[in-house]
Amino acid sequence: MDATAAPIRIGADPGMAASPALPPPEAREIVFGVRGASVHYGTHLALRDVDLDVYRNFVTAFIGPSGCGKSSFIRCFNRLNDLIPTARVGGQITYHGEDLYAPAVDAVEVRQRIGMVFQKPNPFPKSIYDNIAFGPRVLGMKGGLDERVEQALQRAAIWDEVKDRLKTPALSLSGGQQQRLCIARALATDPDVLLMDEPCSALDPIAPAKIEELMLELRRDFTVIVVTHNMQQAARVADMTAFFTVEVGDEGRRTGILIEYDETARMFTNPQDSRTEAYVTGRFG
Amino acid sequence: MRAEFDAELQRLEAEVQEAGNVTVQGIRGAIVALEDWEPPILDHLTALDERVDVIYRQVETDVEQMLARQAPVATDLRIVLGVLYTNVHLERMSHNCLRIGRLATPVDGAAVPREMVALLKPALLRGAEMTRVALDAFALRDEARARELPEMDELVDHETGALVQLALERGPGAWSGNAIFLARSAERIADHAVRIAEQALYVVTARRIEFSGSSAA
Repeated sequence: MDATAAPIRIGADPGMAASPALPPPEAREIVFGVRGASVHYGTHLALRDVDLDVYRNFVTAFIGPSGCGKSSFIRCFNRLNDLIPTARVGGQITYHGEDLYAPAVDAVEVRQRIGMVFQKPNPFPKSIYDNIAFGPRVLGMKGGLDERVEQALQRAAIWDEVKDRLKTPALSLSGGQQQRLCIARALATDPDVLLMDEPCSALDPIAPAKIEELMLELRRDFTVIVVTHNMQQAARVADMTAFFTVEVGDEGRRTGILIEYDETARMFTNPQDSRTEAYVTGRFG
Repeated sequence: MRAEFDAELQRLEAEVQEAGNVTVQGIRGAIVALEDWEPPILDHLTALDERVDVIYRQVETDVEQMLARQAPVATDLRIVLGVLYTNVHLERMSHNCLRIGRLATPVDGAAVPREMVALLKPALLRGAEMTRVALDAFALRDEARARELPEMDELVDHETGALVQLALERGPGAWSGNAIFLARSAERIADHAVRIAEQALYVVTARRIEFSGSSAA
């Protein structure tokens, strides 16, 4: 397949059975619909022509080599690129059928409903309690703050570890605990979607197992999108996986493109594009 | 990292091919046992079967290590799974060769009747050929070769069926009972070869394709 060909989609090979663990495509609820999405930084086209649907209560993983635009892409979903002066998002991204980039849409409200966790845990220099309560307070969520904090910490599977020291500094926690705290902080504002940009890459080798377990738990109530360099992590936690790569154009310009998007089980057993195969088997990237 | 992994994969495939070569020797040894049984042939078949067993255990260990250390995916994973299943089939085929050698032991000084050998020998020769074709299909990722197996298997079924029919027609006797077991062993060898061809197809196509008619498990 040449680099300009359309990405491979689910059902490209009707002979292959869909994963029995997933609902069939026609039964899936689309949370994000992406059509022809692109990201520019100034005049540089960082990512182009992305088409895919993100499904409710799925974990969707974006994988690909460095510079393929997967982090730029995940930031489109909560309009975080709006905060970069030179960034420009093209194409259409809908959220539950509504244009996410319509002029009337409030980006702050978008970020309340679409929470994000970053590569490096970034707790505020405040207590554990205040970290979780921060979002609800800023958003003016009245009443039941203690319950909201507890629920968020429980959902992030860290309540038992911190319930007796909620007033201690969040920075006193281990790296893995800090990351789960940040997940709890994102959950405290009752989001619908959780974006995770390489959430385990800065953690020790043990902590990711808890984060991965947590992702699978969170899937029951939330839609999760995760960017990861760890292909085995994608294979373990994701229902759907999108593989991006880099095309090098004239003058060495590097632009990310979506190569293949399919059920994770199929991406890791029978990818349809040779570039995906080369990447997941470690022959490229 | 990838070079080391590729070398390990190649080693795995070479081990299975070696087990296949020894199994084919076993099939030829089984024919010798049928045609001209002498005590040393059992030692020879036993030694071949033990050699296949050693490779079988080595492949199992290597696959276990590879799954734990390399976490193969996509084509690599299919090769590893294909090797694992092929390994099992070859172990069973080799055991059937030894079984034929034991069943061919003269009864009250009488060797396997010539007319029975005349039916079994072509079935076993075909089984050896099927083994070679299936393993070549696996090694060369050759879908067309793999698809040759069911037709060959039908011929073996016909030949072994004729042997069973002959045994039934002869009625109770020293060789009638053994002939049925001999036919069964020859048929199983061919069936296992078909299963190896299915593994070759799986590696190439990523589809679990079962040829109808063969019953090796």
